[in-house]
Amino acid sequence: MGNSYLTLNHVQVSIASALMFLSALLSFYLGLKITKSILIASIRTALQLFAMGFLLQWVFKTESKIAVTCVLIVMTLVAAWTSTSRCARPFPGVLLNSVLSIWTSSWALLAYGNFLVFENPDGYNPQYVIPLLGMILGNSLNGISLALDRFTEELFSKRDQVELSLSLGATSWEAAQPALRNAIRTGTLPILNSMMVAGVVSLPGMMTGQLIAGVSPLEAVKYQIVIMFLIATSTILGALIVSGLGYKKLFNQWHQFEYWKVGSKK
Amino acid sequence: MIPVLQVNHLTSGILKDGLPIFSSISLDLMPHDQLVLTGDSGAGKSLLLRSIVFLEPIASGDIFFLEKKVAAAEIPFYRSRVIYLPQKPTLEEGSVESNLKSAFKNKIHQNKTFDINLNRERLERFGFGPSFIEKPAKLLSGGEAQIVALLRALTLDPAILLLDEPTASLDQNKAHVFEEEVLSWVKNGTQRSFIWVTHQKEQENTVGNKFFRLGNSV
Repeated sequence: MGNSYLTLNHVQVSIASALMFLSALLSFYLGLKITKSILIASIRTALQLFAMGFLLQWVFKTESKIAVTCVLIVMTLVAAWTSTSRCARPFPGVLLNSVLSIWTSSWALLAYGNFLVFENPDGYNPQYVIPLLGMILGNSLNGISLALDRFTEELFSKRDQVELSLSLGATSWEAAQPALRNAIRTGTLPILNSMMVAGVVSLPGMMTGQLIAGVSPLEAVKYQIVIMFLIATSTILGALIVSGLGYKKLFNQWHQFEYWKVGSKK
Repeated sequence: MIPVLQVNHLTSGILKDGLPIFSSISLDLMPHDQLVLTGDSGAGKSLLLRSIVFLEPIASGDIFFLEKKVAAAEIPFYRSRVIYLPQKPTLEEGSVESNLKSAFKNKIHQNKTFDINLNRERLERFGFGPSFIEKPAKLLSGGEAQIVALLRALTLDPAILLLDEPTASLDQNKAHVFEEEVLSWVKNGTQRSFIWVTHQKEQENTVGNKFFRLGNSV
């Protein structure tokens, strides 16, 4: 045993890519109209991952903390941008809200994981912080995106309910409660679901990777548990912040719901 | 006697063709005033009522409640005293009873208690049987919903009601009971008054003792 694992050469990767060609051919003959999407998605996957690979190879070697930080910042910003780009009903300041939510929640948990859990002696080792942040972002991005979408949609489609509460003397905070609760619940549902079945239905990606790389299962499990907790907390925190900031933006001190700020459905 | 509500040069923050939908509206509501608000469709009657309870943006002007300018922090209290009933009433999921007492969960009403017997009496006056109070709100007709919305407001003991065509989906009989109910409510309190939007000439004369016409951009 030991830390040996099978390395892949380019031919072997190409053999795997033949699968995507088969899928594309199949969809073409069945007239599924997703042939183009299959090809584009495959090419994007390969190109983006190779680009990331080269970047990581370089960053892992460099001693520059600034370079590492830049990578972290770019990852965070792309995640924030992605989380708003699908928001069905955008409102002014929604991008800034997402940046703040994703940034605070993911970096707080990254710091917690890196300094308190792993007690990384190098302090700031790209081999840890980049994959850690990547995993945290990938998940909290979904949570924040879902929470944001649900929050605005809930307020907008149930505007009459919100205005009813306000008309009967509710504060804006009281009137926003149902929307806030539903938004946070929706945002945290996927991660809670995957925690419910972790290990039973699915072996999470990172654990699988470690097992293949030869890490003992019990070690891999410990890592996975830590990661899951970091991801979940970051998602809950992010969903809370993005909904809270959304509340601040869409209600004012006059206990008004500023429905006129919410854009029409994309 | 001091005015219960004063609207001073109120201008809407909502524009149509570059102009505010209504501008510089002033009106006073004294105790026992039964103000009928009329105006063409689109003149902004609903918008004015909604603006008076701060549900809509206001470009300029002030609102005074009992001679005190309404401050942002006091708006929940103000809205518990000045209750707006929209044209199309909103009911929550649940029974008639849970709708009637839904507002009591708000902090502003925490010292009040829900008087179910009073509500039963009122429902009876509208000709509803004793089981009506358990009926799911989603099974109510438009007219029944308007009655429940009125009782839900009355049970909070407001000073002013802003009624936006409240009898539009009621039959003549129930519409009369509705008018009676509101009129006797006004008479049985010292500071009560209302603004009532209607398009029916007959109703204007039955419920009004003061009239205000909202013009199409004067």
